[in-house]
Parts: sequence; C-alpha cells; structure tokens
Amino acid sequence: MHLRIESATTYAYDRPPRRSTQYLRLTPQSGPGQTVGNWDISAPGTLTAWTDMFGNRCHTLSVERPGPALEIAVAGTVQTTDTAGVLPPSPAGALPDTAYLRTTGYTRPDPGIAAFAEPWRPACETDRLAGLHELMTAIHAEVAYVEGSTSVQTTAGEAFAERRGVCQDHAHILIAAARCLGIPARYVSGYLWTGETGAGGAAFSASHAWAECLVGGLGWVSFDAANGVCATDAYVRAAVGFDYATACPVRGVRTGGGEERMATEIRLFREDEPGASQAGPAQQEP
Amino acid sequence: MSPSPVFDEMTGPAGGPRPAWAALQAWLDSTPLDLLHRKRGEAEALFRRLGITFYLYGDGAAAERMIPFDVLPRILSAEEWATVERGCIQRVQALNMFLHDIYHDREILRAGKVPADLAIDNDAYRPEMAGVDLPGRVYSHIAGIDIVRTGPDDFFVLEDNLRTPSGVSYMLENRETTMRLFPDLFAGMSVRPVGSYPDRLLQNLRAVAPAGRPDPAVVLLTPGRLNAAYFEHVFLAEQMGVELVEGQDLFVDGGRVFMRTTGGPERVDVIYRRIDDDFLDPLAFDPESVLGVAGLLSVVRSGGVTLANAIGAGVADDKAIYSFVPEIVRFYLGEEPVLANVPSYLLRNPDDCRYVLEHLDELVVKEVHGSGGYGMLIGPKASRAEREAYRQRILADPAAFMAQPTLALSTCPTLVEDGVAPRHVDLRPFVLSGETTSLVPGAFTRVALPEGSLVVNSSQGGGTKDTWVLGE
Repeated sequence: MHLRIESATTYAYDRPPRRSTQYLRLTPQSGPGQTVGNWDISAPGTLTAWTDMFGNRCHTLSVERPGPALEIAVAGTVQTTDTAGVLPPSPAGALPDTAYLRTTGYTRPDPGIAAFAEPWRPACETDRLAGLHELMTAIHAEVAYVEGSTSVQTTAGEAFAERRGVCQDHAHILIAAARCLGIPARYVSGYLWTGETGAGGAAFSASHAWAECLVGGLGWVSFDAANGVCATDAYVRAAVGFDYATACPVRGVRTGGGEERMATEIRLFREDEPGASQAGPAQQEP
Repeated sequence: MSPSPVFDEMTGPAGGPRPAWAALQAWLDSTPLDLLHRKRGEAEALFRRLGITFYLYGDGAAAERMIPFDVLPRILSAEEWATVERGCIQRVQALNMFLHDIYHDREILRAGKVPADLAIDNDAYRPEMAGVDLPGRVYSHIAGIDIVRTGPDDFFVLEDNLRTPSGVSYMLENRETTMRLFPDLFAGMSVRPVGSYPDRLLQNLRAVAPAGRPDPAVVLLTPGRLNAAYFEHVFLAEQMGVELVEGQDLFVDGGRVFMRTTGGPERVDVIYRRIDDDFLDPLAFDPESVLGVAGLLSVVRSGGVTLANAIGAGVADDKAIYSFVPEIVRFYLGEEPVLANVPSYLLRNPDDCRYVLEHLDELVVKEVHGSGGYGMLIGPKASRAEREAYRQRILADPAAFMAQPTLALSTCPTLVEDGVAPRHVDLRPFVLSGETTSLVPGAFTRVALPEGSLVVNSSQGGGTKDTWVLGE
C-alpha cells in the first residue's frame, strides 16, 4: 500500500508555559515491510534528532515561551508490503531480547492476567507461534473494545479487570500476558489504514498500537489484540518500546504556565487508490 | 576464611606497635587522656561551625545529625596502601570495562562468566544506555570501594559503590581537623596529602567532556538542600570552583544542555550529578521527578553532554554481581584480583540457600538490593527468634538474599568514654577515572563505636576517622 500520513498534535495552554520539552517518536523508519518516502516534522522551537535504545528515530523538541498554543505537524508517505506480520530478529548490538521481559508500570505482572494466560503456557511451549495466536484471539474475545473506557494512564491490569479498553490496553494486556509466559514482547505505536473512509465513521481511528512477540527461529511477530489479527500492509510502524511510555508518539513536560489541553488529528490517504482517505482524532492510542 | 582472632592494626605480633604506628603509640603514651577528650570537644565544635551534618547517602534516617568523629587517626603503611591502591584501580578498571560490555556486545554474558539474567534483568541495568559510546568508556568516574581487613595482609572488598558514592568530604575535612588538633603529631610523621582530590576530580571530569570542547564547563547537580549529602555537594562544588546547580537551573536545547545564568544561557559539558538515575529526566524515567532535566537522556545518548557517573553504572555494584567481580577482573584484564572478595552465598542457588539456612547462626545475611546496613541479619548476634523470623523472610523469596561469613573486622585504637580502646573499622577509598584511573592516598574510615559492634554504617552508630597513608 502507498499511504500518505498527516498528523497534527496541538497543545492549548491556559497560561503559556516558560518552556516545553518533548520527546517525539513520530518518524517511521524504512525496513522490512515499509519504505518511508518524504517525511517532515514541523514545530516551533528547536527539533533535534536522536536515536533511542530501541533504535527509534526520535526528536527532542525544545520550545521557549511557546505562547498560547503549540502545534506539531507531521506529513509523509510510506510504501508498505505484507510480511505476514513477521519481522526479523533484532540485529546484534541491539537491546538484548530478554530486556523485553522487563516489567514496567503499564505491563506489571497482574494476577488476573497471569491466571488468564497460564492455560496457553503448554501451547506456547510446544508451538510458540500457534500458542500466541490463540492467546491473542482469547484476549480479543475477552476484552471488549470500548472507546473512552480507559485513559492514557490505564495499566494492563486495570483494563483487564474491567474487561474493556482501547488498542493501547489490548497491546499492554497481550504484552503482560506474553511476559508472564516468559516470552519477550514489545509495544508498537503506529498507524492503521482501516479502509473506512470519511471522518468520524471509522471504527478504528488512524493512530494505532499493537504488540510484537519474539518467536524463536522466526523473529518478532505482530499481534493486534484489539482487532484479533496480525499486522498486514495496512499497518505502519512508527516506534517500538517496552510499553506506551517508551514508544508513545509524544511525551512532554512543561515548566510554568497553567493547564494544558492536547488534541491529535491524524489523516491517512491511500495514494495507490485515489480518493480514499480517512481521518480521526486520537490522543490515547486506540 | 577461617575464624581468626581480631586483628588490631596498631598491635604487632610481639605486642608492641607495628612500625607504621610506633610514633602514634609513643605519642599516646605521653598524652594525658583528658587532653584527648578536650581535643574531641574542639573537633566537634569545628565540625558544627563548618556545618558538617550529613550522613551517608542511602543510610535512611531523615533527621540531620552529625557523624561522630574520632580524633585518633588510622594509619596505613606505604606497602599496605600500595596493595589497596593497586587493587582498587584494577577493580574499577575492570568494572568500567564490564559496564561498557554489557551496554554493548555483552561478551562476558555470552562467555557465560556472569549469568545474563543477573545483569540484564537487574533493575539497575538501564536499557536506555544500550549502545551509547561514552568518552573514555568510563561509567563510574567516582567510585567508593568499601574494604575490610582481617589480618596484616588480608584486605577484602565488601562492596563497590559505583553510583553516587559519598563520604569524600569526610576524608578531606577529617584531615583538616586532625592537622589543626595535632599539628606536632602530624608534622612528625610523613603523611601523604589528600588535598589535591578536588583538583584531580575536576581534571578527570574535564577529561571526559564531549569531543571538541577544549575548555569544558563542569557543574555539580544536586537534588537540593534536603538531600542527606547536600553539605558534601556544596563543599565539592566550592573546592572545584564549579557551579552547584539544581535541575531547574538547566535546560536542553538543540542537543545540548544549558545553564541559566544572569548573563544568558551557558553550555554545560559535564554534569557531576549527585541524584539517582530515576530522577534525571522526567521524559525518560520517573515522570514525576522535578529534580532532573527534561530531555537530558537524549543529549546523553547523542553525546552532547557527559554525566558522571553514567546512567546505569549501578548494575555493576549490585550485591548479586559482586560475587562475580573476581571473574570480571580475570575476564577483562587477564589478571588475578589483587583484592579478594568476601566469600558470598547467593541464595538463588539452591545449594547455597540450603547451606545458609543450616548456618544462620554463623553468617551475615543481607538483601541483594538493600544498602546501608538495614534489613540484615548478623547471625552470631541475633536471638533465636530473630533468626527464625529471618528464616521465614528468606523462604518467602530466597533470590532476594545473599550471605557472607561474619568477618572479624580489624580494629584501631579509638577514643571512648573511659580511654583508648580498639574498635572495628572499614575503609572507603575513592577511585577517580577519566583519562586514567587513580586514587589520592587517603580514604574515608568508618568506625563502629559501640564496643564489639561490627556495623560501621553511620545510621547504626558508626563514626569516622582520619586515614593517614604514610610515605615511603
């Protein structure tokens, strides 16, 4: 697929802060399954590129006295191919695979999730790929997709207890479950072309999150528990991490000023099928 | 180590003083006790005036108080110091190489010399540092190595402190004080000076500045005046002639760190930070932290600033890694360790666990991730009920514990209420790494003041002594 992606993240401040500093993980990289064309980020202040521990292309945005509003705009194109949801193992020198067994705030081993995952341990031990597919399907069936049911702070355990959430929660639950079974798992933040065009009508807005689990002999295999499928050429990976906190598109702090409101609008256009486009607001990853 | 009688550092085999201590012994013989007590009063007044009221980092207690100072110096001969110095340099060099390795190719883990999970699954392992190339490959620029002694030639490393070790201000202030209290005694012995420490520290910090910075700016980053070691932060910044800053004084812009000054922003090249990893950057670590600098990790990763000590250095001073340090020395340097470890049992190993549970009355048991002498069991001193309670804690989570034999720590003459008496001591020399790895000839000596006590931590009744290293 040939996709054009445009996003705009806007902060509005009651009283302008003295300084705003942000980590942006908004730059997809070319690799197996995707080739990135032009890609631009524009924002006021200073944008400095760097590479984080996962190899994500990041920017640090530093804005002194941003005024009443601050907008971060992203535009670019990506050509995707279907890899059947499989990506090669991490290159030598990258983070050790076992680092992806770490517990984090969002994916802390939760007794409820551990108990739920346990029946798939034998399946994962005999055939990890098949076992993980079953586990993903089970989570998809168990945890309802309910927009607005959780917040950006919700942990895997909290969402699982409620049996509902959005894509961020489904990814966290699957990651927590996989790690309980001793399987390295990571969080992917990116974009999903749902094929549903026109604003508002999309069941899934364009910003998306899913999980990848390590399967020996194969590599990192994607599992989108929110949709119950593996990634296809409709998926664009922007960043990976241990969880939302380390892979999220935008994370910032400000000094001084009053309350802030943040809104993100994302628009995807399918350029190899002229006319098709989709749009939707997204702050939390669905 | 076989249980041995307590070694007193002053007393030679024939009962008289060992050569390094002869002058002190003679001086003690001719000095009335009430003079010593008076000098102790003077020392206390001096310390109060200087405002030295901190306790060791991680020692817990919240109240400000003064650590007792013993006026009698501890003396190390030139040969004894040579061993300590050589051993510390070797150890810190190897540990810095270990840190570089586990944040890069992890050869030592692949070689099976250190269990991978102990390093990588360790909370102190910071994946954020993976693949970062540091100037000089130094992670622990300032290391405090805790050493105990059980005999004339028997020095053992008890613990490595590679994160933000404190206590060096005591080494310097204790020296100032003894020189004032006993100028004649001091002048009569050839004691090697320690006063160059701040200059040498600054020189080492400047040596690890980002490339292409001919006149690098160094700052000391403190969590602020509520921190236990705040006095030391002020003291060291003053002594080095560098700015003492808090997180709010710094900001990140364009891949660099700047300090706000009245004359406008000034670039900072090296940050001697005395705050923990967790609080350094709210965008990368604890988001609630207001002590750090937003964006700092990104500048560290792209080489625009050097932190001393580096983020993630703590993985090499973990008590679980400790037992592998001799192997780490052999692996990277191809040498035998000069300083031995205290033999340790890791209770994650079922055999060790069984042994420890059967010998609780002989061993010291500690939490693998604990510090400051809290939460430990000193088997021989504990009651049956205390041992039983501790056994239950171990059984609940064996991997969280390690054990060591109770060591007969050496003693040094110490002024106590009714005279001069032997008290147990340990030794913390400070190892500086930058262009080279070196020590000033001195250390922070801690002394367990209660009779018979083996716990030198200031939170548990420990005091300090000046440490005199004699010249050749």
